[in-house]
Amino acid sequence: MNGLEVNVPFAFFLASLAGWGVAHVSLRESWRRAALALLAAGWASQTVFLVLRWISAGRAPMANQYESLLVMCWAATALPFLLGGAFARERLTPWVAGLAALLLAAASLLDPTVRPLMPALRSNWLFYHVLAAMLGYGALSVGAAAALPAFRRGIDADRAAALDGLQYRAVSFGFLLLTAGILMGSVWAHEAWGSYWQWDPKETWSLITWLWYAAVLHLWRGRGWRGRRFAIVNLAGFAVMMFTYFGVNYLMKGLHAYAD
Amino acid sequence: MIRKFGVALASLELFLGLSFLIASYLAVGALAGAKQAYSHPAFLSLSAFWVLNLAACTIRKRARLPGPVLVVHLAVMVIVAGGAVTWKAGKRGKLILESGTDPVRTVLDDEGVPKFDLPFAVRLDHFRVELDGEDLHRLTLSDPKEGKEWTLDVKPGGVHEVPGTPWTLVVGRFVPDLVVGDRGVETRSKEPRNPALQVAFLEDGKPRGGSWLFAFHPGMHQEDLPLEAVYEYRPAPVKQYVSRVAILDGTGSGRRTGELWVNRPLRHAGWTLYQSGYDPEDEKISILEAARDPGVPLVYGGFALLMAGLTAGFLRRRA
Repeated sequence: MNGLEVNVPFAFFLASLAGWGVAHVSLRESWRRAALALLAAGWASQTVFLVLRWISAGRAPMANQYESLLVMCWAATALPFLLGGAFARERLTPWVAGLAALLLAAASLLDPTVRPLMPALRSNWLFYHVLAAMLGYGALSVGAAAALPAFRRGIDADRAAALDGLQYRAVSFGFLLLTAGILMGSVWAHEAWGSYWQWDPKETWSLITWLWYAAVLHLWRGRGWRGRRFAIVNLAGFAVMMFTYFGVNYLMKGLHAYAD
Repeated sequence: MIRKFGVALASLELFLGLSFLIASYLAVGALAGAKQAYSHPAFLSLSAFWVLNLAACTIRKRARLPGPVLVVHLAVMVIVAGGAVTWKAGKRGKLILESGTDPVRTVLDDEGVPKFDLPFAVRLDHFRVELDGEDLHRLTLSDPKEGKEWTLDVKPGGVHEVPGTPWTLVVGRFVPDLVVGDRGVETRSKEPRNPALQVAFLEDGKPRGGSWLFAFHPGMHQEDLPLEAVYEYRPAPVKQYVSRVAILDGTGSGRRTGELWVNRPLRHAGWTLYQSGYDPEDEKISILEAARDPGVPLVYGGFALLMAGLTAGFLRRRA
């Protein structure tokens, strides 16, 4: 099952990308709809495999990098449908399908073995903290995906404004969830280790990510940044976020090492 | 002049600049592994200035800012205030307890230097490590001439038939950290630093060779074995470690007993005891963390305000 839980959704997401490519060339609406349907099918297959893994492990599938990556991919692929509007779904589909395929490709390099939880992770907070964080990462990833079209030439003002709006909605939703994930992690740390903040590398880089996105949202609301300028700071935030998620695990030692 | 200073102090540009500076400082500190940088006066001053900017902005723009934004700003200030209380008035350190010895009240720092005394003493009555399953001893046997391979999960002291062959595998001792000393094969420690399993082969009941198999040195000492063997060892994962303690007041009489484990601390007289670790070499020793933090209610209150403000702001924008 370990191979299937990555390969089956991966196949759907690649097919969705291919469908969008055909739609772009042929300009036929039916291919766009097919691409969207394949993305939805990929998300549905991920849901099934995550539930099966949960049942098999006897716990939520969020105890290591492999499992959290699957959850992040699952969250990211749900967002085009949650953000609302046919425009959101169609504009984001190719980018989100590509992002999801990349995330699953990264997951395929990790150890998929289901292992028992170590003592530090035996808490209900594991589910809430990791779920909020991964949903947040997923939403911020979709926000970054929505930033990419800003660098295309010849995009009309209405479409540009709609894409900007998509970015902002995804980033503000992701920021809310990221905050929830950080705060829940802090409460859990206090319950487990007696300190809600220990400047652990993962904690520190989560704070850096939080500060960056707080600044991004202030630039939108306070200084009216739109278009390419906003896309650049948004994508930079995505890079910081990915370093927090991946880089910290491999380059720095800390309390989160057990989750690698 | 003062007005201009007030405008500058409350500016968004100052917030963005300070946030960038703080983020850069945090990044360099984390990459350098220098946690002490976060208690340096330079960082504390920068953070204080950031909070001042936040307060100035909130006060100056309070009429224009939506309610949820004001709540979020206030929440951040409350959290930072809670952090300041923790820094000034919080106390924590390690208690190292050994079952069967006198109660302990002296809390140590990470280097083992005494920090302060608790207002009560703690005695370790019992410590246990709960394992999730058993150790895995897996042997992959192969006969290159026949081109066959067998995988067996074995136990020390067990006897196993190799399927489809006349061979019987007799498993002897397991040693987690094998070393050859004056008294022969011994273990240096309880930690699996050089796990080794003693095996012998019988063919139709007759001895046909034996040796020690080393998990970290496959192929070593296998000249006497009729089959090639690769030994994989995986210790049973630790499920939980539990301390049963008695908390004694100044007179020495037992006031209460209780158990604590990771994620289930024990609270007493404003202090909280956390199961921090144990000594794998001596399972009579338990390491606890003792903490008292008056900043926590402020910090948690700030957390609640922050989530309320962000959620209200998000729903308000959607509406």
